Amino acid sequence: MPHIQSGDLVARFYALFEGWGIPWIVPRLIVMLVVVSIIILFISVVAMFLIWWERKISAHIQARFGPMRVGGWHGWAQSIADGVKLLLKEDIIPTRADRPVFILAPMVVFAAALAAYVVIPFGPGLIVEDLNIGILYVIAISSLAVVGIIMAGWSSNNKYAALGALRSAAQAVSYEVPLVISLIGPVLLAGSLSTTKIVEAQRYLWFIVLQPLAFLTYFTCAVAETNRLPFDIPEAESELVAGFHVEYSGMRFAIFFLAEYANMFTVCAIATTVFLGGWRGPLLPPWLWFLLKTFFLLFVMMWLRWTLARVRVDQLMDVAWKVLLPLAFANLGITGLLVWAFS
Amino acid sequence: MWRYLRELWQGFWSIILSMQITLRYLFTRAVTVQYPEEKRQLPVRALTRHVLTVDLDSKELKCTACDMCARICPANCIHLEGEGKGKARRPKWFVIDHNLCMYCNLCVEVCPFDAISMYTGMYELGGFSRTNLVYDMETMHADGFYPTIMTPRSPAGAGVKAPPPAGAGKQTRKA
Ligand code: SF4
Ligand code: SF4
Repeated sequence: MPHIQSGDLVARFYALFEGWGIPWIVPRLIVMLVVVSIIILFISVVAMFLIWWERKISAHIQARFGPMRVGGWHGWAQSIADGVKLLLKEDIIPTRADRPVFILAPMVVFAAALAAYVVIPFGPGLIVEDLNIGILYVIAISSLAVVGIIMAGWSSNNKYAALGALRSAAQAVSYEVPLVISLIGPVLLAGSLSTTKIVEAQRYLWFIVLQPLAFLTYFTCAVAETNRLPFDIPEAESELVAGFHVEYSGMRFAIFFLAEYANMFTVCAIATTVFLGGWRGPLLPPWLWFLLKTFFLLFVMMWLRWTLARVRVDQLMDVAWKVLLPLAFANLGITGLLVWAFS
Repeated sequence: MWRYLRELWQGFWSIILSMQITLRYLFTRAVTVQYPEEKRQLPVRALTRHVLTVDLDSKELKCTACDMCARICPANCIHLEGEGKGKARRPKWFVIDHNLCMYCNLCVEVCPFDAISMYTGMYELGGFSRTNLVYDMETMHADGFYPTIMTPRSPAGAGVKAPPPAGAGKQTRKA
């Protein structure tokens, strides 16, 4: 159960209900509901901000302005307007689609994105649940999203969607391997899989200094995991229209979109936790440091997107298996030897 | 092995270099012109809506209804009728259908009296119906000096309206 800054507040809440003789499940459900609502609210706000921010960055890199009208100041309300528009749109399900799977797919993708937030340490104690297998949990959960994507591609009964889903599956399977291996290096150094413990271990030195190679491989894989340019072949517009979500419209499409940005935030938050010292930093409050670092990484992701062109499918596989995997293994081997030698 | 590492390094370095370039662009000024609020400075000789120029002293149209422009117009969009004889001949009515006009400037070049000009900077010609775009003599009647082929600059004289700020796009619409 969550420890939100003051874990005993939650404990007192439980005790209160126990005093009234209400079954233990009720207060726990209430706490869960509150926490989940907070996270969903957080994700929505962050995603809306990111969408606006990305449009701004992409525009300015191309010497344009981007959204300028909605809301007055530099079109800050553009995402809200888009969200409302998507809500009001007709929800189309193709006639020959596999209805239950079609409806479930965005939920699976979003649930996977949501579940990863459990172990993100926003600050000391500001974590939903400090699992002792935090990193492993994130890895496991993040590969769940591909199930949703395959469901979407399969159920749409559309060849572009199916192709996009297949590519996505191939991509996720390939990039998961170097991703996991590059995370093992810092985990070896910290001696724990718990996200809080890893941040604690970076008290004196950020792991990016000790593990620059692991950081680069992780970040490359993270970009690929979130299906973003230059690795966005599952939704390559020029060849697949929109990839796996080509048949989705209205709110279901919005959920895919939301999940993509939520995933971006997750991978950047994990990179911050594991390599950039998490919430540690002088002067400013810890949660602000954490958000600053994460948003810097998000900025780098957007920056990359507007710098590099999309790779081909075979190049994508080449990068994963011939470049990232050997590098990640080399890093793991060297780290392992050094840790063994110095302990 | 060395080739592999070298290519790896080259690839990495090329990404860094290209990211430098995009970062530089991120901080350059946007070239966008926020159209209804800002307007682009048009060149003096931009071909835009016609005016029938006037003699600056007598404020009378210079046009003598010689019909040259109507005949040369490839789109056949100028129609006019004159009245009067000799030097007193003036157009009775004069319309240009801007649905058809292709802004070729031929009517201006052929005019023997410098009586029609397209150097007006009036390019905002929206209308809610096609008849809105058929401009008649009153609408096209110049209210002051407009640059023409023969007098691109305002002659230094009293009672002369300065050339319209290019792109000011003011336009009197009488449908
Ligand atoms: S600009 Fe060309 S098309 Fe237009 S009225 Fe003059 S001659 Fe005709
Ligand atoms: S050519 Fe010139 S003078 Fe002749 S009718 Fe046309 S505008 Fe008038």
